[in-house]
Amino acid sequence: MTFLDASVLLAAEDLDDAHHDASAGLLQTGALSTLDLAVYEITNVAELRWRDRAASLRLRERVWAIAELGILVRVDQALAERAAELSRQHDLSAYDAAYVAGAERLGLPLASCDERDLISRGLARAPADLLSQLRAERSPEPE
Amino acid sequence: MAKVMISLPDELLAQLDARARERGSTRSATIRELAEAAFGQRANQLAQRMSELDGRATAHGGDVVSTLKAGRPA
Repeated sequence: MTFLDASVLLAAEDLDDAHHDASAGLLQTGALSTLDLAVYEITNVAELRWRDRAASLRLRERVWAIAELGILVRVDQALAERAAELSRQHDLSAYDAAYVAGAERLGLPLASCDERDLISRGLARAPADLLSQLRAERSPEPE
Repeated sequence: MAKVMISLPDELLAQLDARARERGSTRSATIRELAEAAFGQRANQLAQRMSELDGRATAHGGDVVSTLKAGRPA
C-alpha cells in the first residue's frame, strides 16, 4: 500500500506533468491511502488555479474512493504534533510534514512528485520509483 | 515472515478452525489467505473506481508541485 500526497493526485489529472503517467499508474494499483488535507489541496488547485470544475470533482471522487476502500488518515492532536516536530526537524512546510507524518503513522512509503523538499531528502519516493517496485513485486519469479 | 499473536472471540476462532480443517490447512495459513483475499478485493475495487475516473485528464501546464505550493499560505 502507498500513501499519496496531493501532488500525485494532481499529476494524475494533468497531462502536462512529468509525473502524469506514473501517478496515474500508481492510482491503478488500488492499494492507496492519503491524508484528509489532500481534499482541500486538490480542490484549491483545481478550482482556483486550473479553474477546472470537472477535474475538481474527479479529484474529490478519487479521495472519497480512497476513504471508502483504502485508508484516509484524519488529522488529530498526535498527528499535528508529529507534523510540527517533522517540520522543525527537516525545515518543511507544515503541509508537507503532515503527509510525512501520515505515512509514518501507517508505516507506508509516501509517494510524492516533490523532488526538492521530499524526494531528495529521502522523505518520499517518486511515483515512477514506487510503481516499478510494485510491478516487480507482483510479477512472477523467473523459473 | 513476521510472527504475530492475535486475540479472537471464541466463535470467530471456531469458524477459523473449521475452515482450516476443511481445507487441510493451518490457522496461520487460513488467516493469511483470508486477509490477502479481503485486502486484494478492496484494492481491486479501488483500482476499478480509479479506472472509471481515468481518460478525462486534461493539460494544465505541468509542474503540479509548484502550482500546489503557490496556493499554500506561507
